[in-house]
Amino acid sequence: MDKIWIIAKRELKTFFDSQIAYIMLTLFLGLTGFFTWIMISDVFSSGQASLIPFFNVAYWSLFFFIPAITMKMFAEEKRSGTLELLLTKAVSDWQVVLGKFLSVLMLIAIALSLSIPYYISITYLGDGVDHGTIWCGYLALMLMSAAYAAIGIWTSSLSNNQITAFLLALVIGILFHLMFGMVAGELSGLPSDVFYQLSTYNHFSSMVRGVIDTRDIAYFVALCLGALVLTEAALTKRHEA
Amino acid sequence: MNSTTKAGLFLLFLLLVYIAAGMFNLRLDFTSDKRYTLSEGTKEVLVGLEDPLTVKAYFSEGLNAEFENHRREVLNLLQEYRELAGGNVEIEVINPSESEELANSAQEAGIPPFQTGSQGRDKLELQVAYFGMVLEYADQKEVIQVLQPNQPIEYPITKAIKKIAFPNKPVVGLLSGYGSPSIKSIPQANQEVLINYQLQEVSLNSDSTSIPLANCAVLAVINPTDSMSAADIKAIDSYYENGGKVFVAYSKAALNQGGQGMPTIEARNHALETWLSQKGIGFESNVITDAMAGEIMIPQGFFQIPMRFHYFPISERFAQHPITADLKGMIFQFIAPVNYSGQGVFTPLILSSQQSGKEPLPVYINLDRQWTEGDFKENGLVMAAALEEGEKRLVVVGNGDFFLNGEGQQQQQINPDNVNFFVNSLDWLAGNTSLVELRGKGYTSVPIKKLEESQVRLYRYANFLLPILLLLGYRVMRYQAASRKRNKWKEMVL
Repeated sequence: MDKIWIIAKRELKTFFDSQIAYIMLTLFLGLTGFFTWIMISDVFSSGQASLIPFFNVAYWSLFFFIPAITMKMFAEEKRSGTLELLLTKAVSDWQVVLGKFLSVLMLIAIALSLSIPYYISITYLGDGVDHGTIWCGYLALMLMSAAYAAIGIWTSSLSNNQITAFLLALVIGILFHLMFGMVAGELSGLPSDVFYQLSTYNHFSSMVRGVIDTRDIAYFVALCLGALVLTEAALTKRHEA
Repeated sequence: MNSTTKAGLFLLFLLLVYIAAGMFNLRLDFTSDKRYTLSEGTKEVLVGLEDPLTVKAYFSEGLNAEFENHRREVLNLLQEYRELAGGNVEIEVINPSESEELANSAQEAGIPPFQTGSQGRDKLELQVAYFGMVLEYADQKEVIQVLQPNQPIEYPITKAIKKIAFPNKPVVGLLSGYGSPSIKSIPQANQEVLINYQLQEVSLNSDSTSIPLANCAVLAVINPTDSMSAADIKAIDSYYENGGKVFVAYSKAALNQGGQGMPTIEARNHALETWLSQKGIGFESNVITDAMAGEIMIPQGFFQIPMRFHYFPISERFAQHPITADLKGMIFQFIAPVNYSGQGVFTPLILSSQQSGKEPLPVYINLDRQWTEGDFKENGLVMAAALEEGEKRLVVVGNGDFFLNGEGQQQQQINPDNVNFFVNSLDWLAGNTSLVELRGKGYTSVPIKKLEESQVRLYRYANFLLPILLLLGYRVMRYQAASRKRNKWKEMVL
């Protein structure tokens, strides 16, 4: 665990040493802040003391930002040759994968925690704000981000090129984020149910209402673990080759 | 075993775990009002079921995500109904969109089709959908035509069960005559009352054919305007003194349109007030005004423009009491404060806002009047109250038409909480509060407080800029710390 933590901290420091973290976080906060408070379906136009506008915007903005954060995780290290150096050290592939995954999660947690002023404002703006629903919304964003981060890390382990990794993560993300839900709508019976269960939006929107269902948790955890296992397999295959 | 096989097996294991999570799922409801969990009222109703209840759910599948989530939620709730009823609830789920035959069976059962949008490959497609249910108990049947997403689910289902499974309902007597409104003028309230009670018009005249007062679980006296004899009052008093439950809605402050002259709000007197005063309850000869008030439409040339009318107070201040549980807001047209000077348990139920006022009657209505803060120096004037004296129970409201829809062309929709207050009062008076907590369930509105435009701007830009400034502040701090470190290194090297 210590080694995972050391790798996670090193990765997080790298984010903040380069400008990537600041650019990504500023873009994320700018976009969510703009659409939550200033324009279109913002809090004031809805007239409700609720963070639903924020969760809706964050649902889409994180979908684009996470692949941009994760694209360099392995692709850049492979291109520059530092991955081989890292893997020769006394750390297992799993520790490297989990360390990098944890660092992305910490960065996303920082991004979401910077939206706490929104929560405080909403609490002041309405009497009887539903705190349970808000915390469930944050949990849903965190779980969804974890799933996309794991997918992004996996695609990054498949290529030496960051852009390829980014596009691949985006394409896979689109399947879960959009396509499966649409396909479910076009089918009926069991196939519809299967695609419906695969759609991120259905699980996300269920949690944002304030209900935690083991099926939703199991979905996101399974996506994370599945992608991380594939990442580890991709790294091991590299050794085996 | 190579890494690819291991990964494949692990993914298979995850799939099995996911399927198991679906089969043995656990659901936790974190909403403040537990709107996705069955309430005690529903449990009470289900425990009382003696015969099997069949629920035929006609739910279309393959609709948009909103309906799919809604479908899942309703099916989850139905599952809870089945578990709580100890096997007395049978559920049959039918997908009418599967075939024309099933669609016809839904329509024959009384479930109408409707259209809903769904995102297709390249455009929004409209789909014909069904989302209703039929409940059957013994020879009784009740149809819920449509259960819309984001609308209460539990209340319509429990209400329907209660309606068909408990046919012996207590009688609520609505005092007829004396200028009081008839059942026809309260269709909205009547619809709700009929779930738990038989609503019958009763007369105080001993020769009448109506049921005797003593047989009524509750007597509702709604704004009598014509005179009552001493014998009439005595009849009400004797009903009450024998452990009766009475609901009184009375307009002490009444509008006089004034023909060609200026409309006025006048105080009126009625024998009912004398009876209430014997119980310690009085109506002040004042009319309540409030900064938080409804609007009236004023003709301006060809147009009608809305104007805040401070004699139509809105109240959002309610007591912690079964009658007012989950009420969000009520509106009254001319209401007089209620006071009490007796020994019973008196509970003010509805209070005026912190910026309210009262004006002695009569009041001449001047639409051009400029209202100032000085007009609203009162706080928490009692608009309605409950009184308990042993077995006797009385609910009094300082306005007699707050839940009236009117008749014929004049009929209008009433704020749902006004109706809920009346029905909750009947439930409390009759000691039957199983549906009270359910009525307000599912309304999730938390409106934003009224703010000045400058405050709104402050909230908007502070929330937009603050997180970014915090981040940039951290960037500057980190940069300075790194610079200090660099300089230190340089000094050490030199």
